[in-house]
Formats: sequence, structure tokens, C-alpha cells
Amino acid sequence: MIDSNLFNIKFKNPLVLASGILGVSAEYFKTLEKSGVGGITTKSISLKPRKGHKNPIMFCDDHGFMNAVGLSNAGIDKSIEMIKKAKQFVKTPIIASIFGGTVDEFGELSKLVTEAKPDIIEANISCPNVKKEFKLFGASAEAAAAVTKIVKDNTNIPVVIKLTPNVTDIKPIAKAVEEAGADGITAINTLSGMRIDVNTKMPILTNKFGGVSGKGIFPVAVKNVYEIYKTVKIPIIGTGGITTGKDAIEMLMAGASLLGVGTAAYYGGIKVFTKVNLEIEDWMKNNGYSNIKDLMGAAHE
Amino acid sequence: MNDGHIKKKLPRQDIPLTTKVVEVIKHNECFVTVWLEGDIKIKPGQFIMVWFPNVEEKPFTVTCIKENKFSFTALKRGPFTEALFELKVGDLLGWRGPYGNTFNLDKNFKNVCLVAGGIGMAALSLLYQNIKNRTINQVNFKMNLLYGAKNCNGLIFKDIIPEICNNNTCFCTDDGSEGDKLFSTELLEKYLNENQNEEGDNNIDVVYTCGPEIMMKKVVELCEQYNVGCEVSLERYMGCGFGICGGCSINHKLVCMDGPVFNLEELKNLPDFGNHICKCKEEKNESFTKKL
Repeated sequence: MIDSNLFNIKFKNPLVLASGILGVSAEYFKTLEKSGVGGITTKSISLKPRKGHKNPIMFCDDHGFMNAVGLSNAGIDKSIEMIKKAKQFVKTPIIASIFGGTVDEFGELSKLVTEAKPDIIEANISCPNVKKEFKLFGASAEAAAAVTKIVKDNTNIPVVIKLTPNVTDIKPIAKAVEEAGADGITAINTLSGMRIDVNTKMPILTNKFGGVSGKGIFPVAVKNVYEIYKTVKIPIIGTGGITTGKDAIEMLMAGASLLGVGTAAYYGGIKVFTKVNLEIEDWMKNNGYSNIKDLMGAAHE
Repeated sequence: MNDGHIKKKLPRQDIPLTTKVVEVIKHNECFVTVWLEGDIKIKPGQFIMVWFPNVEEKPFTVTCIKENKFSFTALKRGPFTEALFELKVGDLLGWRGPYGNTFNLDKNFKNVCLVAGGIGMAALSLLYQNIKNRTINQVNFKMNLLYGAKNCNGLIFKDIIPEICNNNTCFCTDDGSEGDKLFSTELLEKYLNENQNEEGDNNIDVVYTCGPEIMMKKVVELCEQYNVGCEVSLERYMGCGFGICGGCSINHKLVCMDGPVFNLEELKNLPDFGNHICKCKEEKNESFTKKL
């Protein structure tokens, strides 16, 4: 009922753990699989190991969740080992998220990570928290297309490009990555934001600025997915603020084929995946749907 | 179908709340206790994330709670804990939490033992005080504390919770400068032996422990050998404290959410338990640890 096929990969349900959330240790992938995820995205991988920003890197207020982890990861060599190990532990499709400082680095990462045989490669060209060090490739159609092309040229694995909502118009960028050969699009990454502690007059995050995620950004994500769906023919992994089954249905109707879920694990623990899946099934039964495909893009009919 | 949002399980503060430092006690050149203004609801075993603006944010257990103030105690290990020594009354620190699970104190327990190694006593401090308060009128309740450190300067909880200085506490130091010249694990072995009856059964209900991981590993081995329950409080580097960043994973579990307290059964499935060495200790090493 809620299973689907994308790029000839079988997903038992549409909920994919979004990048940056818990996708660190191979053994923890077992726990995630048991919690009911349909797919697992790794934390974004760079060529060299990165420590990321100093704490505080995350917090949450009543309306939104903020993070500026700074793309901490063990580097490509250790990450390849981790993905290989994880593939022994779980049957759930694995999406390897990569990010580079230059177009060429993206190409090299694509080539290297292919060796670990992830099911999908996701190129993260949209992290809002490392602007000092990295160009935001997702901010321009040309740069996004250049990254897409080189990642595609270096692998035979399906490639999705993760886009940022922190742009004036996401449509030409989506179009550009489709034309450059992307197999799919993940949208959206976090929204750029900031909080200041009024007693100390200090930004709370060490990085000052961070990415806002969680319930509050759901309407922004729905709108972006809706617009991208209108613009391109390639499938979309709709991501941003999904915390309930009803949110999931809405995002599917906006045009998503799979759903990225991350911050929801903060609100409800990782058991949220099972809960949301049950809620999707309930909604489908109550509304006369037997195949999740019938919901995808339903808002456009 | 529930279209409402999922409720958080515990009432907790997830954005740092800045509050005034009301007292800074430098016990010696290695240990400091900081008292913060405000009320906190926290159970023994849980921890908070302390934000030092312009420095960093780190996990700590709360060591004492009084009216409108609470404290945490730190061992000087790196830039963060060094900065704590420079704090003045009126400075602002932030905190969020509480996070993590709690020690399990079964109502039927009649005989409990706490084994602390060095600054590990911080994680057992609230537990000790809670048990003491709860059992003050129970004549047949027994609580023993086995508290070890490298030398007498490391036994600072004698100052922080003076009530631990009683006949049911045994102190030990690696150099014999106070108490027995033994490791706390050797004290525990002696204690477990003494509490064994002729049939080999033990009347100790549970051992709670916190200290260097290598010490806790030995405590766990002893508890298994003597068939006594055990709960350990683990430490890992933490980013978020609430189960999202994945930084504190140990095998298929997270120390911040599934722990920090783990029992014997859980530890059996965590082969990485016992292999952890604090990174800052590795880097800083000698200069601080020698003094302890």
C-alpha cells in the first residue's frame, strides 16, 4: 500500500531519514531500520574529515529547530567503510550524501563513494551553515548544473541534488539540475536563521547563523516542492517539517515521490517513523486510496 | 488519525536559558563547583548541557540542588573547564535539559552500593542525596559508598556532600594519601566478598557506578561474577543531548537518549563499552592527570 519503486529501488515506505540526523554509525542503522524508516541518508560526506562547528550546534524553541553542525563527518575513506558495513547490517536503501568545496571535489567524491555501492547519491549543494568555507552551489543555476553534471559523469548510481530554499526562485535551479542529468531532486534544505540570547546579547549558535527546520518550515517546503513539481519531470524527495501522517499526505500531493523526515525524530523520537507510516495508511484507507502513487502530485490535477 | 503534533515526553528546556552564577568554589587547582541561580527539576542520572558563551557547550550532571540554585562540579580537562575557573559571581551561563534516563531505584531495594572513581562521583551525587533523604527513617536500609581517586585531592565530594563522611563510606586512593591504598574496584571486590553468605548468595541489590570507563568495566565484571545487579553512567562527546546529532552513539544505542545509565543486560549488547578513552584526556594528558 505505501511501498513504492524509485530508480528501480524498492522502498517499503516513503519515509527517508533526512541527511544530518543520526546517520553517523553503521550499527545505529540497525536501530533506524527497526524504527520503520524506508530509506536512510548518511550525514554529508566530504573528502577530508571535518570536526564541524563547536557546540552549541543545535537547540529548539517553541516554533523551530536550529542547527549549525558544520558538516562534521569522518571523511570519505572512513565513510566508505561505514556505508559498506551498514549495508551488511540493513536491507533499507542507503542514500550517500556528499558535499565538496569545488566542482571537481564533487566529482571525486562521486567516484569514490560509488565504490561503497550506496543505492542513491545525494549531492548536498545547499548547506546554509558553511558559507565562510564553501560556495553555496545551490544558489545559482549554473553552479548547480555544473555539480550535477560532474557527479553524474563519475557514477552509474542514481543521483539526486539537494536544493536550498534560500534563493529568490528555486524553479530555474531545479530546471538546470534536471537538464544537467539529475535523476531526482531533494527539497528543501534548512532555512537560514539566527537566535540571540537577550541576557548575554550573544548569538546562541557558535556559528551565529544556522539552519531552521521542523514544523515551522513545513509550509515553505510544501510550496517549494509544489513549484519544483510543476517545473521538472524528475522525482522529488520532499523534505522539511513533516511530523505527522497528514503532513506526509500533503507533501505527496504537492508532488513528492519520497519524503525526507529528520527533525520529527526530535519531536517524537525515532519511533515517529512507524507512527507516521501508520497514519498514512489510515488516511489512505479512510479516503479510498490503495496505492500511494495515486497521491503523488494529486494537488496538481 | 491524530493530526496533532507529537508531544515531548519530558518537560524540558531545549534552548539555553541564561542565568547568573551565584557562587564559584575552587576546591583545588583541578576541581571547581559552579552554583547557578534558578530552579531545576532533574532526576539522578540525568544531565544538562551547560553553555559558556564564547567558549562552548558541554554536558554535566547536577551535583546539588538548593532553594533557587543548583550546582555542577567539573574536573579541569580542557579549555571549557579551564574557563570555569575564571568565572565570577554575576557572570552568565546557559543551561538546557534535563536529558537522558535515570538510575533505577527499586522500592524493594534494601542494600545498595555506590562505586565512584574520581570526578565520576559527580554523577552519583544526586543519587546519594536522594537515597539518603528517602531512607532516612528506614532502619534496615543499607547504602555503602566506595569512593576512590588518584590521591586525596581528588576526593573533593567530601567537601561538596559532607554527609558522605560516615561509617558506610570507604575511601581509597591510588597513592594511599587518604583511605586504603587500593583501586575502588579492589574495594568493591572485598566488599562483595564480605557480603556473600555461605551459599554464595549476595544480599546487595544493586551497584551504581560512575568513573573512568575502564574502572566501570571492571565493576561490571565483578557484579556479573557475584551475581549482583549493576547500573553504570556512561560518558560520550555530545552535540545535541536529545537524540538527533548521533555524536554519542555506542554501538546501536545513543548515550544521550538510551542512557547515560545502562544496566548489565544492556551492556552485554554494547561491545564498545570499556573501550572509550576521553578524547580531551588523550590530547591534554599528563599535565592535569598527574596532579590528581
